[in-house]
Amino acid sequence: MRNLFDFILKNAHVFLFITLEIICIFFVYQSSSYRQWVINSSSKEISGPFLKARATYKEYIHLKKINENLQDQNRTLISQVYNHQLHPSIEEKYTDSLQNTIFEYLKANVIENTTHLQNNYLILDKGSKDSIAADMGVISPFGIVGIVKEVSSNFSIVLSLLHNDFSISAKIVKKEVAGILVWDGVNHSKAKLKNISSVENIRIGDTVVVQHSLIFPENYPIGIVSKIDKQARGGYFVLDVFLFEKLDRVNKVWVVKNNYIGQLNELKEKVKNE
Amino acid sequence: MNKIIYGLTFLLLLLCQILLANNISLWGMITPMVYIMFILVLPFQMSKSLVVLLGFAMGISVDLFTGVLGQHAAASVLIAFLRMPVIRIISTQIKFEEHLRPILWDMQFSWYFQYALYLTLIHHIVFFFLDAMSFQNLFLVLGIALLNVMATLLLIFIFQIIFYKASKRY
Repeated sequence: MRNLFDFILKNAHVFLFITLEIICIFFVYQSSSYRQWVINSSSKEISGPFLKARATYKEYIHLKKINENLQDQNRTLISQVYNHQLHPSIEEKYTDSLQNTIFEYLKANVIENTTHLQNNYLILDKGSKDSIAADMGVISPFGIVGIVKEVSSNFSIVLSLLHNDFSISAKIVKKEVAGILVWDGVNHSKAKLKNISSVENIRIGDTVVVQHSLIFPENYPIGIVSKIDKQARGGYFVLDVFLFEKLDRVNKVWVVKNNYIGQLNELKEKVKNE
Repeated sequence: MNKIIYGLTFLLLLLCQILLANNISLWGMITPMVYIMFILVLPFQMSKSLVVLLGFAMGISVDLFTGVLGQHAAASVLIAFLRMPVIRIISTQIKFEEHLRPILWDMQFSWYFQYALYLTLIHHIVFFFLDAMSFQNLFLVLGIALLNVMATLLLIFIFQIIFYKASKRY
């Protein structure tokens, strides 16, 4: 017995190492489970204030660039609004003013962001207190950024577009061609549009937008087609998409809140159960 | 006194990592992980268990400020454990003089370079594969890991040159 104790004491660091390593690996492998995300997001309550302070400082340095972007954005919005007023669309005639709008946009700041990993995350400075919840879309003025994974009361963790698990349905404007947008882990400014059935009409420079999404507004821009792979794999083609949003510089974002998501999910459940 | 100095080193390196280094995103690929220098500068005589524990503490603290818990910690614990074996492999003499510490000015350049290089390499490769969790982009991930190793090493050497001086014999 005493020998055993001696052995353990002598090699305490080995046992300690193995235990700690198992704990860490367990944490990493569990990173898709719900409980892990609760721990993960609540831990951000500790680190959040530091990140926030850092983000404020960073924002100050980049004010010039941010202002320029805002001005550009205002210009496009103004031109859209005035053109819209001159040619009212059918949609507008039939919208009920008493009804809720479908999407609400909640503003937030990015306080932590990575692009060099294979699975990247962002951290936002708004949480459940500001009515952000899991599975909401996150967009920036130029394109889509990611999907909210988990929220704590003041912060939220966002699964970036630059993540192996990220995928949304996207289409090419006016071309009746749709596919699935994913990131292949290679270049942080490019994504892949998979499951394209034909590339005959597609030209380099065509705009790629969101389609049939419950969490992103329909037709929200994503990027432009930068390369067309003419070789079909399993009957499908793959396109390279150059993203409009530079994800290593993203700063101000909107979280998209779908006011009808509860109803839609209820309906889905109903269909599933039948 | 020594305890305070190492505590301060811990805090300053942690702050340096989260406030400065995590902000660096060269070509969207390079984000140096300079906090591992804390594990490198711990004295030779420190008990191995304590080194492993401190490595864990450092890793988990950095993890708190990034996406997923456990990635930095796992890699840091590993190099904290492998520190002594690496030292044994690269050193010609078995016992060091009492007053020497594993820093640039106390050791020969080639010794310190190997020491920092091997531990940084192990740390970064483990870290990036823990993140990727597949060998799908094997060479890309390795490439990014190597680029980051260079950046981290550069920062470690700059820190060593600026903030450390040779220990006195007492």
